Amino acid sequence: MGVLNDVYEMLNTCNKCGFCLTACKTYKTDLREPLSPRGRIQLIKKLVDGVIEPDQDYEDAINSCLLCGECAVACPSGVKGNELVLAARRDLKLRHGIKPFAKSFALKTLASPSRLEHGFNFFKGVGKGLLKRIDGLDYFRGVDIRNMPAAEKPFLEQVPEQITVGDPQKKVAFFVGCFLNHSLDGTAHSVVKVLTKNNCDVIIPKDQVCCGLPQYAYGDFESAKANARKTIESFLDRKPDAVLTACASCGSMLRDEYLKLFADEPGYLPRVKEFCAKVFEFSEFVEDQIKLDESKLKAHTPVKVTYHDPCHMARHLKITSQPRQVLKSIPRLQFVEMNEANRCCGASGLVQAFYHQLSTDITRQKTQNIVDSGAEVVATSCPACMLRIQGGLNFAGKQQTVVHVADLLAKAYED
Amino acid sequence: MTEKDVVERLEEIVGKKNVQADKIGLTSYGYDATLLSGVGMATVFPLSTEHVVKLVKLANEAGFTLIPRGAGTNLSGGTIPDGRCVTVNFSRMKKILDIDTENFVAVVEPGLVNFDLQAELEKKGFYYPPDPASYKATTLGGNLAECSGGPRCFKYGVTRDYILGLEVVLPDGKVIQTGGRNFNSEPGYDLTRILVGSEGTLALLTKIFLRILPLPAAKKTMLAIYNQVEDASQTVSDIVAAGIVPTTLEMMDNLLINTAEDATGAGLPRDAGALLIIEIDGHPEDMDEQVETIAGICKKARVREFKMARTAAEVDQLWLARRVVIGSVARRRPSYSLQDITVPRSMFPNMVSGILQIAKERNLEVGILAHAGDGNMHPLVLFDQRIEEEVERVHLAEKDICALALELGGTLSGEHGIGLLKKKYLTLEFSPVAMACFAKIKNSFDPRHLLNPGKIMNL
Amino acid sequence: MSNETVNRIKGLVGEGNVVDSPSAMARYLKGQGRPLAVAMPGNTAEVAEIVKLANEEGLKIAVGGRVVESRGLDGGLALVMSRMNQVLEIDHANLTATVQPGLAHTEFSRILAEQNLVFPPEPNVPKTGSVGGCFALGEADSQAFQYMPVRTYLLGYEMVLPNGDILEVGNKCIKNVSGYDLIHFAVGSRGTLGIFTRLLVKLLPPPAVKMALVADFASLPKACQAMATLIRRRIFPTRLNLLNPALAAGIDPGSKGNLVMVDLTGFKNSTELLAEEIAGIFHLAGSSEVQAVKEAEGYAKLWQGWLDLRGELNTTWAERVIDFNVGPMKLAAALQALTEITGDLGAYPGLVAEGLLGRVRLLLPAAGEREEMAVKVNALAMSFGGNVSGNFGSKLVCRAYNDAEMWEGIESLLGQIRRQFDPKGILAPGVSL
Ligand SMILES: Cc1cc2nc3c(=O)[nH]c(=O)nc-3n(C[C@H](O)[C@H](O)[C@H](O)COP(=O)(O)OP(=O)(O)OC[C@H]3O[C@@H](n4cnc5c(N)ncnc54)[C@H](O)[C@@H]3O)c2cc1C
Ligand code: SF4
Ligand code: SF4
Repeated sequence: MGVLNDVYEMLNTCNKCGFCLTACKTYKTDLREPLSPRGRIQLIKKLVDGVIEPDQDYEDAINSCLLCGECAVACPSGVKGNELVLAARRDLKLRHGIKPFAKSFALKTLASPSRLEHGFNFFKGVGKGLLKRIDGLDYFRGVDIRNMPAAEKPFLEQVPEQITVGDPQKKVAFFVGCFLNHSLDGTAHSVVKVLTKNNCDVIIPKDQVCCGLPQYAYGDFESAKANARKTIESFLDRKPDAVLTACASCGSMLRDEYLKLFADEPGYLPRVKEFCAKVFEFSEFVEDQIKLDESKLKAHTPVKVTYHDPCHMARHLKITSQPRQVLKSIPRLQFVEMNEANRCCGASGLVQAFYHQLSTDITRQKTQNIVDSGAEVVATSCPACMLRIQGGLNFAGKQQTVVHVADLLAKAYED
Repeated sequence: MTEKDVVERLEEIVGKKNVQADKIGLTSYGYDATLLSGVGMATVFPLSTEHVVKLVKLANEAGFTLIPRGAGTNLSGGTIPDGRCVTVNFSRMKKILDIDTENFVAVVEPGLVNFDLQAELEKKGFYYPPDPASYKATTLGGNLAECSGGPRCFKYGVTRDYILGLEVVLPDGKVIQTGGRNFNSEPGYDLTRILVGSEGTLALLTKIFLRILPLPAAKKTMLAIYNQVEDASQTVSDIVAAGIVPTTLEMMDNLLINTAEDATGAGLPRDAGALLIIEIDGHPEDMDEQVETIAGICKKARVREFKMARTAAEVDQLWLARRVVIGSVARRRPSYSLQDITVPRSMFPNMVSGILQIAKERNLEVGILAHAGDGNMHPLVLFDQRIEEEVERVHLAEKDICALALELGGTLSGEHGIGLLKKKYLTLEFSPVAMACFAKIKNSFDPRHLLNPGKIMNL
Repeated sequence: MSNETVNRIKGLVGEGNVVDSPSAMARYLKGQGRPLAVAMPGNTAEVAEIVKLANEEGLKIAVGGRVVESRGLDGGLALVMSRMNQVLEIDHANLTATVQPGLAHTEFSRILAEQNLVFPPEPNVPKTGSVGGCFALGEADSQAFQYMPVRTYLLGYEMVLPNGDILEVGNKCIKNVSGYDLIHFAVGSRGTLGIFTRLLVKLLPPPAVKMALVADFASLPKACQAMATLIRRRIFPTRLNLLNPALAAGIDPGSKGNLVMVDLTGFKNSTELLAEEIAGIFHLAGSSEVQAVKEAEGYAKLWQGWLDLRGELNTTWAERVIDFNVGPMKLAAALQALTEITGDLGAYPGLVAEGLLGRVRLLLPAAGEREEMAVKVNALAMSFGGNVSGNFGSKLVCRAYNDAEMWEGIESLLGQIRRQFDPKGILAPGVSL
């Protein structure tokens, strides 16, 4: 119970005012108190107080949280619902490991590169074919499986470890992340292209692993730490000027959560800090560090683009203006805002897999906002959001496509 | 009927998905925004009037009571369950049935969130004036049952003034419609008015006819900063006496300025004794004249700084700061006791100094938030629920504050209702004859005391 | 009731304040009922004593400001409140007044004007209306769009209940949700709940400027369109009333057709601009003449004319009036449809429309056909989302929906409340709910 006792003051600060209810997508969709921030917080508190047991209903309340952080922004009392949920998941993990089997399988798969590759391979080959043949399974749990991209081979196997340019200004180590490696390799290539066009040497460490966020988010701090340590060592060894990620979720893990994860290891913390200070998200790096030379950008075919703020971008990394700036600098690209641009798309790690009905309803709200905006293309900064939203659009029979900010920018450079 | 049978019957009526009877659910519907809590048998989510009728009939048959609930943000203990009762949660009855801007009427279901209605109305250039600080979360049914006010009340009145008609399910399962789409269609007794503010004890609301208004053509938001609370309250009296009717005259004291600033970073002056947010609306041509008069009054009352919000963003910042005040005090101490007393406007300065005096005598930290224009005050007494001795003193202070308000010709509740929390003080305000009249009203509607028993008064 | 009872009443209020000869009683009564006596109590205690006596003797009581409705009062007692006519307090700081219920409405307005204050509700009947009566009837009036319905102005009261108990509720706070809202519930209860003996009312400071516009329209549909245009342009005057030619002549002898009366109260700048804009709109809409009334005397006379007309509709003509509501923007269409029942409305005995409320009052040629007409008019109003007002209207709506259960629900609830408060059925016997 140690983890929860540590956050008891914050649990106690929640005065049940309910201001966070409207902010929370899971509540606004389901409309039951246990799926609201206030509900989750009170349940956690009641658990500590010994009033309730951590039964399946409790776990559902805790595990269905999107960790989107909207509640923390809305709370006048400074309570951070997402952090409390995180603590509660950690507490559950400590009580009995991650249950049930399926959840733990999914997390273990992500934690280990070889298993992950296996997973994607299965999916690519037999799995996808199999699912395709079964009617109605095209949209498995709200994910558009039929059209889900899968890389022919992982991005890391497609590129050399080091790509050098003529007159290097910066040395950038690229943290690819699971999604770009296995599924959206095209986006990974876009990132590399933008970097090289802007005179950066790119290092792509072959031994990189999952950042550890999925494990961390479900309370498995041990696995998360193992991956984090590997990542930190592998990247610092290469002595880069910057560690770059094009995944907002990886970004928030690498830059912020590692510090919390290792807070209990003061001896190692300086090294963590050194690493974290070098981490940049793609559009943040492009806007703030390399200063785009707009004259080098080629005119696109005219296109109307809107931007979706991933939760980890908007509320964790707090990067909202840079991606918009990057988009606006692309010639003939017309930028429009959609309604509720910074609200969660419903992906959120494993919530989409295990609370798919809820997650699908949330995605539907997002796709509606996209359609209403009149945009033809949705740009965003997180591969999980890309897949989720594209699936939602396909599911609804819409024509809009979802791309990474890096993809649009890369297209604007001559080959 | 056993509890298990009751749950099964409930599931037959609304479907499994719309009943929650597990331990987690019972806990989650056991609290509201007060420190009270309780446990009932189950929570149901009706989707239609028909569902509600069937629920009421089942309650009659099986002998359990019903606790209507919206978003559970009330500050009176109005939705606390107790024993053999079922919470009827309206959150899923949230349709907008009609928005008729030409005739100034909206028809909605009671679970609709105030903010969600405002958002729809705004698209059409309209709004619904009552906007409690909690409007983002609260349901219109809850607003109606508490007769909620809001910062705009001073000019525009409270919920009561914007309810044209209702559809309700009576405790015997009959459905009636009261009022209508117009000001004028009430037969006999004004049933609509007695239902507004009845805290879920007379009938279950299933449909609400609201009066909506076009957004004002012009609006000016001003901020007046004072070194002393007394000067701010003097300004309030003077503005009212000058015959000016701002939409808003909100006051917060130093403590609250600081906690609100912690929460929002809106740029409020941390060292000020008090501030007033003043807003006027109306025809653009009339704005300057009124601003000038108000500025003059503020100056006379030794205002330290008088500012006009220049951009929409600045206005939003001010309002955000105002809206989060209550919750923001939890940053200082984990619990607060919030009173809702109201005094005649002329007594406003006396009440303010009285509260400060009480705080000093009881050795407690108190922040004062006031809808100053209408004399409605929310003293926030800060404490920690875990320190018993402090809780004792808080209770004493609460009683002192209520007694003082009544002594000054005021009332216990301006907008939050009585519920469980204030019913012990009700006889201080009302004579036995008035209490007997309340009982007559309750018994006319609900002779078997099926709805929200124990709220407002014991029978 | 025996002479002995009358004597006891005389003992309570004083010989000179009881009238029991039919000829002397006549000036205090309307309707066909034959009460035994008319009493004029002088204070709350006397009212309470009388009610207690009525309880003992099973005596029915009806109350009025200066005139009492005698329906159902055979052998009962009429209470005239005209002696309880004092202004007890005017509180400038809180903008409230405490008055006795028998105070004449017009007298109250006059006293307030001297003190630079306003009590907005329109008197129901300027000649005889009292402040108590104003709240007992509690109708919305043609200024309600801006100033809110009558009930808004009641902050509290003292009332003698049907069992003789004295109920006091309310205070000078304009925000009050303590306990059930007995305060506003009593408005419009027409004497069935109890007898007001003191009222605490809300006042307003007077507007900076007042002016009126009067516009003549040969065509009724065009007049309606003109009113609709104002609303569409978001111009909301204080009053926006339409009279058909038969009634218009009574207010403005020079008028030739339908008359639209606009009242503007507010700040100087905007009011003047609005007046110009409205005049422009009316001209364009086909008004033959738009006249601005700015000087105080003409303004006062104009609206006095309106109030007198309202008084007639509420009294002399009451049995001939059908009152219904549709939305403000539906007036034009509803009146158009109405002609199919009534024929040319221009030639009709009377038609008043309160534009901002979407309320229409139709003055029938004769009282006899009221019920039958009301059924038709109600069907029409319902097709425009409205209905005939009041209890009767509500019954018609239920009938139209074939919803016997709903009507039974309302009726039994109203009856239940009345029985709870007045188990012996003493008060207001002529009023059916
Ligand atoms: C931080 C904070 C600030 C606040 N600010 C304000 C403010 O500025 N002004 C103000 O007036 N209030 C304010 N409140 C109080 C509260 O938000 C209001 O009382 C609100 O109207 C409650 O709405 P709800 O939907 O949460 O209702 P609930 O709390 O769920 O219920 C309130 C009451 O309504 C009844 N009820 C709900 N739905 C129905 C129905 N369909 N039929 C019959 N009865 C029903 C319940 O039984 C209960 O008695 C504030 C509260 C908080 C926590
Ligand atoms: S988390 Fe914050 S906003 Fe939500 S109920 Fe608790 S105090 Fe209120
Ligand atoms: S983090 Fe997001 S999903 Fe989780 S409780 Fe907060 S608002 Fe809801």
